[in-house]
Amino acid sequence: MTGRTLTRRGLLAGSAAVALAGSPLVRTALAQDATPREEPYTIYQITFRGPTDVERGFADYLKQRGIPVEFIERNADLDPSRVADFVKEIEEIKPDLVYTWGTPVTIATYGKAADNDPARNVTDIPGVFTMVSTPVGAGVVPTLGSSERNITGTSHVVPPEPQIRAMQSYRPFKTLGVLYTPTEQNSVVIVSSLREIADRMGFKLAERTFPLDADGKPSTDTAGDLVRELHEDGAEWLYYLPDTFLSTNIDKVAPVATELGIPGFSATELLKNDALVSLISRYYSLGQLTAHKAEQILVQGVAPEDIPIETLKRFSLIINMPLARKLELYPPLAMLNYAEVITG
Amino acid sequence: MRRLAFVLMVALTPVVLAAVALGAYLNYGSIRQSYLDMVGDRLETVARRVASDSESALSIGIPLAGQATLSRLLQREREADLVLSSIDVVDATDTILFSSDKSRIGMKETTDPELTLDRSAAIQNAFETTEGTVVVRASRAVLDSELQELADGIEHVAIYAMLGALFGSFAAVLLGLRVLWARVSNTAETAGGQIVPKETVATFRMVDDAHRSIARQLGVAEAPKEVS
Amino acid sequence: MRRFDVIILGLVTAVLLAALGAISWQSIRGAENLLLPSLDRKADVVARSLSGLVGEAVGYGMTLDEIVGADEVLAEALTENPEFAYAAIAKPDGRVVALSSNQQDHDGAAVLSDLIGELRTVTAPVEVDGRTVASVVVGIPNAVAETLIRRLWLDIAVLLLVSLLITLELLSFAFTISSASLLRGLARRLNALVKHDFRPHAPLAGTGPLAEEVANVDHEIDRVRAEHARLTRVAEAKNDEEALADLELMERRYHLSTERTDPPVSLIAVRAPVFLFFFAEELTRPFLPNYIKSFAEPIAGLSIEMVISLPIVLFMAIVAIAQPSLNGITERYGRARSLRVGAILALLGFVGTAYSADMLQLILFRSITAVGLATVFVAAQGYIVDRTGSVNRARGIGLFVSGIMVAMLCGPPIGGILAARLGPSAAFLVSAGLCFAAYVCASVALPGDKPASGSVAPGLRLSQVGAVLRRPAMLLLLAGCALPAKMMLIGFCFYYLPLSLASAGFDSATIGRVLMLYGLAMVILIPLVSRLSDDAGKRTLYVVIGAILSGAAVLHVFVWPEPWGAAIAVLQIGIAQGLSTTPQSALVGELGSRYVPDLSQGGLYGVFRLIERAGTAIGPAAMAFVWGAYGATAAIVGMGLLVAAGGLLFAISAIVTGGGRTEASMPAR
Repeated sequence: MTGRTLTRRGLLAGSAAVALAGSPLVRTALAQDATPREEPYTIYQITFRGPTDVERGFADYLKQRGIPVEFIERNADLDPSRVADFVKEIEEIKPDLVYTWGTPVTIATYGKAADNDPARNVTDIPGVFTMVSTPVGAGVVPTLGSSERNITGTSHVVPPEPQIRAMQSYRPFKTLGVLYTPTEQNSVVIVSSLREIADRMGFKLAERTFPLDADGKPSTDTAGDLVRELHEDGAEWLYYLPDTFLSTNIDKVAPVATELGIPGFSATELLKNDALVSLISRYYSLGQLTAHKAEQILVQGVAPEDIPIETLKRFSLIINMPLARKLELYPPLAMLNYAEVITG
Repeated sequence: MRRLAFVLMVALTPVVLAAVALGAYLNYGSIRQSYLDMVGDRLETVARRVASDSESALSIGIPLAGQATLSRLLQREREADLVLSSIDVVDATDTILFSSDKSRIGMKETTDPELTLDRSAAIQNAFETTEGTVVVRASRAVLDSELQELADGIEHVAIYAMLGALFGSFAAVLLGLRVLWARVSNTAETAGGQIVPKETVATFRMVDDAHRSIARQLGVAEAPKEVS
Repeated sequence: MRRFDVIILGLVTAVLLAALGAISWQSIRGAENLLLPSLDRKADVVARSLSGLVGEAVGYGMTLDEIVGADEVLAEALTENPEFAYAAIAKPDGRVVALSSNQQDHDGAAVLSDLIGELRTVTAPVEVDGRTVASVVVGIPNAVAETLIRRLWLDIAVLLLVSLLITLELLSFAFTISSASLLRGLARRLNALVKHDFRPHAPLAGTGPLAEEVANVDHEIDRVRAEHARLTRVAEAKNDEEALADLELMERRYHLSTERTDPPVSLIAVRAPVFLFFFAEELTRPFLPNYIKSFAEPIAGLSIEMVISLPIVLFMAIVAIAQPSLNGITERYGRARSLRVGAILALLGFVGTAYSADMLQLILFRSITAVGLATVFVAAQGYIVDRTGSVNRARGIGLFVSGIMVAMLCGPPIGGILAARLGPSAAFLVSAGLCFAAYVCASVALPGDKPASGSVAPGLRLSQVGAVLRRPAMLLLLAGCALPAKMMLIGFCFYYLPLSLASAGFDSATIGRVLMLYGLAMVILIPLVSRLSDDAGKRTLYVVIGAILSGAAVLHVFVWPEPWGAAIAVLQIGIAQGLSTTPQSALVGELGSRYVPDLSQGGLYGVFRLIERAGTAIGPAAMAFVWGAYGATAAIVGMGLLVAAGGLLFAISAIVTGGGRTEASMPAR
């Protein structure tokens, strides 16, 4: 009946509860029970182009957790066929855990879910993969809930909901434009999921594809016109998906959009200089998450098929200030609290 | 009458004193709670700010243990608000990694609600597990000494108020009794020659008059004024 | 006496208001000295943080006018800090760039000077490259302490009300001392005569002018009454219709031939100790269930709800079972002495409860308190019965019951405030103190016990209970209406609601105010209804309406947000039971004499009270059981249905037997 006092007390109680949940006194469920063994765990790491921040995060996490590890580092050097030799080495050494980076290396090492062979792939030793953008789409796992075999992993892809929300917070929109290459499987999958999300979250999706030339290869000849068409369709944002062709030819697309006043959004770090807003997974954090899964397998003895494949829950928002100035579309003040701003 | 007055005053004393004392305590308690809530809010704001700075650093790849710049931030925040006694950044094993008070580094974090008022904020990483916590503390001794002035002031007035209320209620008793006494001792004679309170004389007269007229109607003599 | 009471109460109110007002004034001053600097610091922290953010934006090349969403950021800051009046970003020349305000009259302010008014401000500059390009200004109302103290008004008002009620009780108590009897007697006569009430008063012994005056008044009253009687005889002999009519008129106006049924002074004396004693017990209502909960651990087989109900059920059961035998015991040892012993027992019980370390000790000490309570209740009731004849017994018991009702009104809010501010243990100690005060009052005011008259009233026998319950009308009245009513009161109002309100986050002070509504309704309604329901025909109707209203009341907790849902429910239950209590009690006598004529009134009411007491024990047990097994909703709805159904069944039986109306029951005079 003393209303205000009640609410504040309630708020305080609530925030105290949240604070308590975060306090060191309440551990995350997993870190509790087991202690790592004395002898270092051997982890066999296969990267696509050498160590990245992902590996750094992976190693740091294990070190902070006091888990002794010994890394055997191998580099596929942009060539997945080298993995065959690594698989043979794994058979001989029998490490405690195998670690792969990127879709091609992952598929070469473990095979696909529906198509793997103990002779060519690692099947008996537990494995983690990382930096696979579409684990289900690429056939690595049947569902994200479980690989149903001896592997688990992480993906760097940002789920669509946070992406849409980031765009809406910056500048609310009713129509989203997307330009993609119809021959890239990844892109087709992403666009079809975008269509479904557009229905669910209540916005319109305007699509255009790069035209294919006589050899069935995409061409950028009409790129500018396509952007203009999207503009006429009412697109208020342009979505730059992780489409290889688009990424390579972004300089034919982005400036036109900027001229027309359409901001661009990117879900990969690659295009942060061309998109107004990017929402990305930090490689370092992804490495930590992967290590978290490795910890569950090595220290707590959880079977990989019982560990779901996950993405991060928090992403980094990058705002391109020079583009904002050119477009005269400045970020809401509140966003500056948590966004990273590129100035040059 | 004197005894009655005394008994009344004795009976009223505890009630009046208790009411005023409880009222004073309610006032003080409410202000104290507001003050503590306000301080708590401040502690929480500082905790959250440090936590979010730390989370930004985490997200660009600096592990919690490596965030040496936190030391300076903690010191600066503590100096900005004298009510704070310490700000600690603690890792997942409750060990203090950084603190505004250098001597605390390396110890285990313990909280004693008797000695300090504290608030914490979690430092979460990108997959929403807790890397560490920021614990901001205010010393209860400092807070209590700030509250002391308030307490003294209210106590001061409360004592005067209690004495005043007591005397006031004694006066009320005496006044009331005096009025009552006046009413009952303001006497007059009835038609029957009896000394009764003056206010009742009229009523007796009314009834007597009515009886007289009925008696006349009935044709009987009036009753004698005295009943044997 | 009325005028005296009014003068004293009025002056005491004024005095208390002045005292409490002075304290509030000082509190506001002290609070401002304490809170305002603290608020300033908070505002500074917030302003600096906001200015840092704005500075960042400007640093990235945005001009102040280009900044997007500044209003939202300011609004967010205000939501997190509702004590602030406004937050604004202003250019160096005073023009407002962004504004968010908690006060309406700030809308559309374009220049900083529009906003300042009588508010304090805290400013943080926005600096870029060493230049100040803008400022963030946060406005704080000066009156922050005033609003704080004003929120206390409800607590203070309750405090005032309860103090006045206690003062009233103590005033009437003080007048029972022997040296006051003459003054009191004279004042009563004066009041009566001024109201044209010529009923005779019990004579008073004494010497001195006051005694003479009293004797004179009595003399005159006797004279007038004798004359009236004489004239009536003459008129009857002469068969003079007109005269008789006139005399009849006079009789109605002046009550010249009726007797007075005032309770004797010694009865009034017992009211204060009873009031203080029950005040002590009612004090605990808002916080007792939660206090028990803090000790409770699940015991094998029983849900936690049932474990919490154990001390309460045990308490009520002891009171129920002990009563019949205590009647004989208190008579043998003397009512006044037993009352004092009961007060001491309860005192020990409360102290023990305050310092209990575990559930077992809690149950032990609550049981001791229960014995004390039962003793006091039976002793006081017996004291009244001993000293009244059948004529004024109803008034005597009414005095006793209304004392308990006022305690039910005063106890919960004060107990709630004490528990919220000082903690439950402190509140139990206050209860112990009140028991001591009751003991003192009883020692001082109650005359010594008469020696036992030799024939001790027999205790209640099971066969009597059986005899009563075998009659369906009695069964439905007692087990269908009286029992569920008590179940509802103790099970729903005093067991379930404190627990559910506390787990919803409300403090004991609020819970106390909610429970107070029951006492309030009862205190207001019972005297009103007593007058109305003298009409014997309406008794069944009132009982049934009460049952249905009461049963339906539980629905309010589902409809309204808390605590209003609970408050309206309790109020409605209070109204319902206020309507039905007196008629129900009268119906027991009426139906009892019809269906169980062999049983004495004493025995009949003994059975009635036993069934009621059983309800006080069964109620929380049943509530706890259903709650633990099927959830709160089932328990609440079940209780409501039980009460309503009982009433309806009784109604049906009454209609079927054409009952509810008795042929020859004269309206009470």
